[in-house]
Amino acid sequence: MKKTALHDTHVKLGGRIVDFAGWALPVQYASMITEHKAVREAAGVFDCSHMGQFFIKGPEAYDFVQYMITNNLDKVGPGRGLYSGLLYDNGTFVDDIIVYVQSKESIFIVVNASNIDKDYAWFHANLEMKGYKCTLTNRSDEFSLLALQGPKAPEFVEQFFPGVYGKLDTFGHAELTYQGALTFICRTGYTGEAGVEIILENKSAPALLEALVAAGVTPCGLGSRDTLRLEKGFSLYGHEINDTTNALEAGLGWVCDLSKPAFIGKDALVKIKADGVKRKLIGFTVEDRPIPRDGEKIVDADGNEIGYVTSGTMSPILNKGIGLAYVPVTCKDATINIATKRKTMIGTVCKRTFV
Amino acid sequence: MKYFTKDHEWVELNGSVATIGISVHAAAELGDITFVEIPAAGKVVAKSGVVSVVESVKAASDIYCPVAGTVSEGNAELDTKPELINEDAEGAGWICKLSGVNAADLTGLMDAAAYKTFLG
Repeated sequence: MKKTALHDTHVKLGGRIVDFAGWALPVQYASMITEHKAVREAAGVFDCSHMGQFFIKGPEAYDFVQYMITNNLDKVGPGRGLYSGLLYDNGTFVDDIIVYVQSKESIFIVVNASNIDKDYAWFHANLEMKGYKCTLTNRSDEFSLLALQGPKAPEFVEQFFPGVYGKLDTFGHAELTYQGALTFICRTGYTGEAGVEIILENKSAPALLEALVAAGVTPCGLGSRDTLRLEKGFSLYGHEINDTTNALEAGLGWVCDLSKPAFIGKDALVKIKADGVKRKLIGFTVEDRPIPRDGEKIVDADGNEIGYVTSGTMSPILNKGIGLAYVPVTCKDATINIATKRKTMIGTVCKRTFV
Repeated sequence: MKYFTKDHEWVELNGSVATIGISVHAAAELGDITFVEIPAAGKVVAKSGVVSVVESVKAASDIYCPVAGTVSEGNAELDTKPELINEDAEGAGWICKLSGVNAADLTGLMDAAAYKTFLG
């Protein structure tokens, strides 16, 4: 298993280390529920250093990224960023990413850990083919990423990086130095709470994590990161989105700007929109147990499969089962039947934002 | 004296009555336990048959009965306090008691020392 620069710190802090897509990372420290609530009520910090960072520089960096992604960089200026899809020609997902614009000549993006090699190959192949005047560098191994999240996270950002947080809009980012390490403070996250993601060179990451924990931030494992994102209905690559789901059925049409002159996947999305989207992503809650999980079937009254669960978990805030599922777009029922491994149960359809 | 299975259940036999549960190691691996399916009295269970389901935040796991028998009592306290298994898996977090258990069913199970070695 690969280790992040923070591995020894996790062990020292009592993290329970598991294999997370080839990375040795803590699934929890003391308790997922405690860590989840700490982020909803105070502040928690996650090691997301397994995620990747690509830097694109050159006179046509902006044009190249505009061609690659679904969202429109024209919406944001230097110092800002946005969430975007990265699609294949058929409109399904290579990945979902965050793009940070430093200037028209310098852009960096953050990609999912399990997709680093695939995304790099995708960017590289398209750069070669189209010949944009820019360079692409995968610097994933040089940087750590600490997500500091929660209603009290801004106070801790202020304590460690005075004057930074207040100047950042959502998806805004600032470049500075922390203990000699190049550092980007980005006002982003995956929990639905206030806070930042701190991307910094590996050498100073352990010191920052230890200092944050010493200051009172709860160290959180990736188990609670998943329950936190699901309570807010955020998509996770490999679950809600992958190379078999298109951006429109995934409910991510809002990050696909079809008014852009061209981007990879645009023609497919235009056609899917014209023909009509076939299925949709819904939220559901269950009172029954065990909770439906990823891959379990949605069935009609006769037991025929009509869809599937993409994610399911116990919501520590609602204290009941929540999940996301694909169903036919024609399905307007208030409840769905979920055929789990052990029994068929009723799910109540709801908005994808649970908390 | 407790005996353990390779699936991390434990059993303690007193005469022909067995008490079963999951090991401290299993509880730690599962993390926060949020639900336990408490077997109803009268349920007949085969050796290695599914006797209960324990669900944590991340996943649900079948619990295989280390011995054959008839459920005489489920641990009703787990209904409102499933976290008892995290707190005391091999004590107050017992799952159920079975009657009519044959001591021969313990053959092949590990004692505490052997289980510790098995965990490595």
